[in-house]
Order: sequence, then C-alpha cells, then structure tokens
Amino acid sequence: MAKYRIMFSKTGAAKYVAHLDLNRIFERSCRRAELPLAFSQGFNPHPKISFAVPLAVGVSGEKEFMDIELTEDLKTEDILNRLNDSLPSGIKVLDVRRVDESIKEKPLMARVNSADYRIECEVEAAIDQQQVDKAVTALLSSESLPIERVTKGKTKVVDIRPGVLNLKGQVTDNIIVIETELRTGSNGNVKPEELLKQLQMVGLPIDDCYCNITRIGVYSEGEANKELW
Amino acid sequence: MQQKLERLLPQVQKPARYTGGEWNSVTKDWDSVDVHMAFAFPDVYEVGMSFLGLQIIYNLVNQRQDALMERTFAPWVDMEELMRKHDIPLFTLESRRPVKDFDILGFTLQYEMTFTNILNMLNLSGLPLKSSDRDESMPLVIAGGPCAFNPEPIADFFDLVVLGEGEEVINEMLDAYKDARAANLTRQQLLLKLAKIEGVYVPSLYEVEYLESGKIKSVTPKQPDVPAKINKRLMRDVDNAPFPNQPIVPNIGAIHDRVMLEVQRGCTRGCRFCQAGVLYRPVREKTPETLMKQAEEIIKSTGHDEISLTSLSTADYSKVGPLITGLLDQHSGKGVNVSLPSLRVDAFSIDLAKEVQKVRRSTLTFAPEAGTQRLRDVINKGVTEEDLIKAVSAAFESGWHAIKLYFMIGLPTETYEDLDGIADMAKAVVKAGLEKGVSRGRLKVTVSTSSFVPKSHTAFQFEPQDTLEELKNKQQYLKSKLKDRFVSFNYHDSSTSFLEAALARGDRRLCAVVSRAYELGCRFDGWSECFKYDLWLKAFADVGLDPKWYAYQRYDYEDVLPWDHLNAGVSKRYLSLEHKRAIKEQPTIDCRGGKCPGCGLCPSMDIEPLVLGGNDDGQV
Repeated sequence: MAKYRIMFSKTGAAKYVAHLDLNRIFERSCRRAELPLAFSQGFNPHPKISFAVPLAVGVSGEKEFMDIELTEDLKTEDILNRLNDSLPSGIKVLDVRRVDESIKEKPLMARVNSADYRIECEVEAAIDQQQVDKAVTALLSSESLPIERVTKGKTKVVDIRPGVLNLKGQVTDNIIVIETELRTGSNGNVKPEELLKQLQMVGLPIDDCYCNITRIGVYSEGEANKELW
Repeated sequence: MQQKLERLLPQVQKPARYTGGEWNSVTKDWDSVDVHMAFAFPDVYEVGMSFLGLQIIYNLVNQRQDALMERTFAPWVDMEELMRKHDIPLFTLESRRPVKDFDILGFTLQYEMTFTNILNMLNLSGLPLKSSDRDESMPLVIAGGPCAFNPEPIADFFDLVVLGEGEEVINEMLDAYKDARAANLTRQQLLLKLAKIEGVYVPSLYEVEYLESGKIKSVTPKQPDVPAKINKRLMRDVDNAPFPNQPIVPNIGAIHDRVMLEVQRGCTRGCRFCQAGVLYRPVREKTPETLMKQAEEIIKSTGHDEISLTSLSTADYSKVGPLITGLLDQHSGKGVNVSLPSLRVDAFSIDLAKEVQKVRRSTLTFAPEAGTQRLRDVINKGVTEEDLIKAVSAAFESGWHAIKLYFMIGLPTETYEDLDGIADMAKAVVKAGLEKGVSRGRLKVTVSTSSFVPKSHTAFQFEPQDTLEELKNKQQYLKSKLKDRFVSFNYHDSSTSFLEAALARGDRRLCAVVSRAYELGCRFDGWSECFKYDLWLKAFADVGLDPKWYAYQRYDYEDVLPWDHLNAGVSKRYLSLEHKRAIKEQPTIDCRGGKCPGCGLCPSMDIEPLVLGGNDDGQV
C-alpha cells in the first residue's frame, strides 16, 4: 500500500460537478490511468479516495487536495501524468507527493479549518473604491454578523463574524474583486454566499449580480505548517 | 452566448446537464468537416445519456472525416424558462453552438410522451415546427427510434423519418446529403433523393385519405418514384457492426451509468403485446469473443466498474453462462461487476443472478405479465406458475428476501378472474418465502402493474384499450385483493397510458393535437410531476378530435391502419393470425429452437435468425 496526496484544480465546466460525482470521476480516471487503487475491505468495497473538503456546485477550486491509496508504489510524476491524461476537461492534477504514513497525522478532512476565496462580482454600474472600503470596514468592525440558516427544516441564527478571518475588496471599473479567508470545515463554517449577503447589507451594490467564486486555497490554520502540502 | 450561459448555469438544478466536457466526448473543428449533425434527445441529459443508440450513432458519425455530431437534450423546465427569458437558443453541449447552425438535426423517438418536448426543442432552436414552414437555410429535421414506426401523429414536424437500425442508413444519408449539397439541389430535390434510400420515409411525399368512418382509406405516394411501402433497415452482421468502444462517460450520474454491452439484437419470444419484439426481429447473437473484446476495450476507455449485459432478453442469449464467467474472470479482480438488466422467470436466471451478484442486493424482479395461465397463453408469455415458484424459491434459498412482480392490466380478454390470479400469485410467492425461512420482518413482495397500451406492428394492434374507468376499477379491485402485510402494490397512472394509446395508434390528424398540447404548455409528459392531463384533453377538444376514438378503436384485419405503409418485416397476415391465436388462447412456438412460426420477416428481408446455440456451459 502506498498513500499519495494530490493537489488539483477544478475549474471551467467541471465547477458544476457535485462532490459525489467528483469522487466517481476520480475513481474512473484512476481506472483509465491504470492506477491500482486500493479498496476498503468488507461486503461493499470502496476505493480509498478521500478529499480535504468538498467544493460547492458552481464554485471553482484552484488548489484542492485529496489522498488516494494505491496497492503499488509508483513514481509521483508517473501518477501525475497518467491521471492528467485520463481526467475530463476542467479537472487537472497540479502535483503529487508520497505521504509518509509513519508520521501520524489527522486525516486530511479533519485538518482543514479555513479557506481563501476570490469572488469576482460584476456590477451594473461602475462604483468607486471608497464605497467598497466602507462596506469592508463596516463589516469587519461589526461585533457580530447574525444570519439565519435552515437545517432539517429548522431555522437557526448563527453568528458568522468569528468565521470571517480576512477580508479585502478591490474595484476595477464594474468588477469588484473580494478576497477573503473564511472558516471552513465542521466548526464555524462560513459559506462565501453568506458573506456576500452581509456585504450587500452593509451597502455593497451586488444585489442580483453575477458572482464568480473561486476557492484559491484550503488551510490547516494553527498547525505549524498550515499548507496541507 | 457563452457568457450569458455562464450566468444562467448557477441558477439551475444540475447545471452539469448543460456543460458537456465529458470524457470521450468529441469536439471537432467546425470548419474541418462538410456535414454538421446534432443528435437531439427529447428528454433530460441523464435519461438521454443512458441510451445506447446515442452512443452508437455518435461514434459512427464522429468516426467520419467529413462529418461531426454533437449532442443536445431537452432542457429541464427551470433551464427552459431562463433560456427564454435571456434569449438563449437551444445549443449543443460540445461547441455550444445554436442547433440552428447545424445541417441536420436528428431526434430519437423512444416514447410517445416525449413528443411535446420535440416541439419545444424545435421552438427553442428558433425553427418553425412544421417541416413545410422551414426553408433552405434551416437544418433538415429527421427522426429514428421505435416510435418512428408510427410517426404519423408527428409526421408534419419531420422532413424525414428512418425506420429500423441506423448504423448503415446514417452513413448513406450523410453521403447523399453531401452529394446533394455539392450538386446544389433544393431541399425538395434532396428529400426526393433521400426518399429513395431504403428505410427512409419522407411523410410529405405521401397523401393520406380518410373514410367517412374516420378510418384511413389509403396512404399513397404523391410521386411515382417514391416507394409505396417503406421497409425497415436491419444489420445483417451484428457481430461485426460498429460498436462504440469509447462511449462518453457522463460527469453526473446517468440512469444507466455503466458499460452497456449489447449481447444480441432482437428477441424470439413473440409476446403478443411487445412492439420491440417485432421491430428488432430477427434475433442476432453476437459471439462471446467479440463481446469479451468489446468489454475489455470499453472498460479501458471509460473506467466503468460495471458491465451490464443488455438486450431484450439477455438470459436467452445462448452463451450467457460462459460470457458471464469469462467477464468475471477477466475483470472482477479490478473491482468490476457484471449485471443483468432483466431476468427470465426460471431457476436458470437465479443461477445467473447468483453468479453476478456476490453481494445480494435485496430485490429481484420478475415479469409474469398476467395472473392466470389462460391469460398468459393469450399474450404468449411462456411462463407457468410453477416456473415462478421454482424461481422465487431458489432466490429465497440463495439469500434474496424481496421479490418484485410486474404485471399488465387491461390485456385483451382480461376478466376479474385474471386479476384474482395476480393476487394468488403474489400470495404464493409470500408462502414460498415463509416456507424457505425468510424472516417475517424482511420478506417483501411488491406487485407493480402498468396498463396495457396496444401498439402498432403487434398482434394486439387491432385491439382497443380498456376504458380509463375500467382500468381504474381494476386497480382498485387489485388494491383491495392485495391487502397483505407482506405485499405492497403500486400502479402507473392510467391517464398517461390512455394518451399513450391514442398517440401510439394515431394518424396524421393528431399532429394538430400534439402541437396544440405544446402551445397550451405541455412538456415532459412522461414525468408525473409535469404531466397535465386536462391540457391534453383540451388540446383534443380544441382540434375537434376524440382521444377515445383512437385509444378505444377496434380495427378489422382488413382496415388500412395508419402505419400499414411502414413495414417492420413481420407481415400483417401473420399479425392477424397471431391475434386469432391469442383469442383462442393458443401459444406460438419460439423460433429460437429452429422451428419457424412463419412471421414472414426472414424471407421478405432475406435474412435468418442468428442463434449460436450449442452447449452453454463451456468456457469462453
């Protein structure tokens, strides 16, 4: 058995592929690439593929992570090339490294707790930088940002302010580019759409506009090496 | 358009339906080919991508140097609304070009209840619905598939319709199209030229006359050089027929998301209600060697983890045992499974199911179709109650604990005794389950009924459908008879079946109804959440036609049927004979055994059934 960490991007048409489908796409791509995937034991064996953190449908990912286990030890560049020759358009492997399993570490999924996003919002009319700065400052100086979330038919009020770790906004003509670091994962997760709604409430004119959301990195904040690489 | 589309996609359900970019999809340089064809599937992506015919034709056309084929599907209602609001025409997934830019737009007719979707797709493309309203600048709109054998209710909308298997005729048509364009032929001249290709039906070249009774008087060619009867096309050598070894692998889950390995074409059983059994005659088995090779190539090119052995009746395939063993030997080590889409009602099928399902899924499905031996003799379904009990007992012994039984209600000659028979069969299956020690908490028998729809080109084409009221009474009766803690009962909506019958046996006058139903807002009529029965009734009323007249019509053997000029190879004389045998409850022999029941197809089409036969327990 050999475990590998894979850094990949999911952009273009592939950003509309849902997480479960992505799992299957990788499984099939590995088979096409003739990479010997390891399977779980039991009545219903599953390939050993695990992702750091799912991407929402419609959100691109520039630097995503996953682990796969193979039954054979292969050269990392071999894995990279073979996979890239077998993936559908929009999904690309950027790098592969061998995971040293003698070093105990938490599973990839449990480690991710923050993510950087770039959100491009196209607004109808040109706006100035001051307006953007004002909204960003207003949001960052709020003590709490309560939002309503519906889970299993129940509405709950959640404060997302602690989950907004960083926020910047830059405007060129009629495009506002927002860069933000948000809490991600099982604790205090904030969706980029939720942040957008809050920005709208503090006066950013992004009502009904087209927003292109890209996750540009996922991190394990607080660990010595926050990069998952 | 690209940019507009990008903005819409985040707003719809399953945007990946509209993006393309799948593995093995082909995007050719537009200017590098002479002929551009779009394949249009009149239902959603997930349904269309499960259709083997699409993969076959897509592969064939894209193999050509001089042609390309791209795909388009019916946009779901949310997408349609946005496309209309933002002026986005129907486009293909590969190059995202408007369908209107293509030379040929080919629809597949799989099911009557997709007809309004076809009109919607034409309209979304910016094309007039009627063939006669389209001009030289517009694509040729053509169709094929099972419903092409009675295309009369939608004949006005197509320039031409192809009967039978498409592998050869598609190439002949593309060649003819290319020549015609090089020779600067007009659209009318081109259609005349295409009408001379065997299997091609150009509806506008035929005149339909009616009797006072409303039945058909005659269907005659308007020109002397157009054939009076159109014969279906079929592949003589299915084993060597081009097969898509690199099928497209959808990014999102399709209904059938696996290798579809077609083991044979046709079926010899001769069930009297079954249209596919006639349309795909004669049976032609592929050799296990070819199938092993194709399976290997497809697994390699797709990365699928399941091979489904498809055909109308896979358990009948002579070499099914060795084929399964061979496929499992070769592929199961890599985590690849084999599956069977349907089982015959016998113990042999259970052995096959055991072989392919190492892990027992809970449910096995059988289709006895009718509840009594008498009625099974009427429909020529060669299954006995003993077969069924043997099969389910073997299944229970092997670890299955849920059985699903399919029946049809409203079959010709059916009485309430036959319905009692369905209930009795379900109870006998429950009894077998308890006797075989299936735990009382897990034992489950599901009875599922559909309503019989008389279809063209079958022995029952002469028969009326049961009235809607009668079908509903029968459903309620069965419901009361099937009150048992181990049995659950479900049934299809009978008003859908009623319209299906009216359309399946309809004539050209129904074009006005289909187009009116479309105008009134009917779409996705095969989807219960979208089906609007009252709009369909209004469409019939607005046009001044009665759906009952079509669905409940009893035809005489001598009557001219709306589809009599479209020849599936089985003679009308034989269908009449089969109908008489049905009424007399007489079975018909299966030609797989070598004896010929005389359906007339082989001599008229100069072909013979191809059954490999022999001992089926050897190794591949």
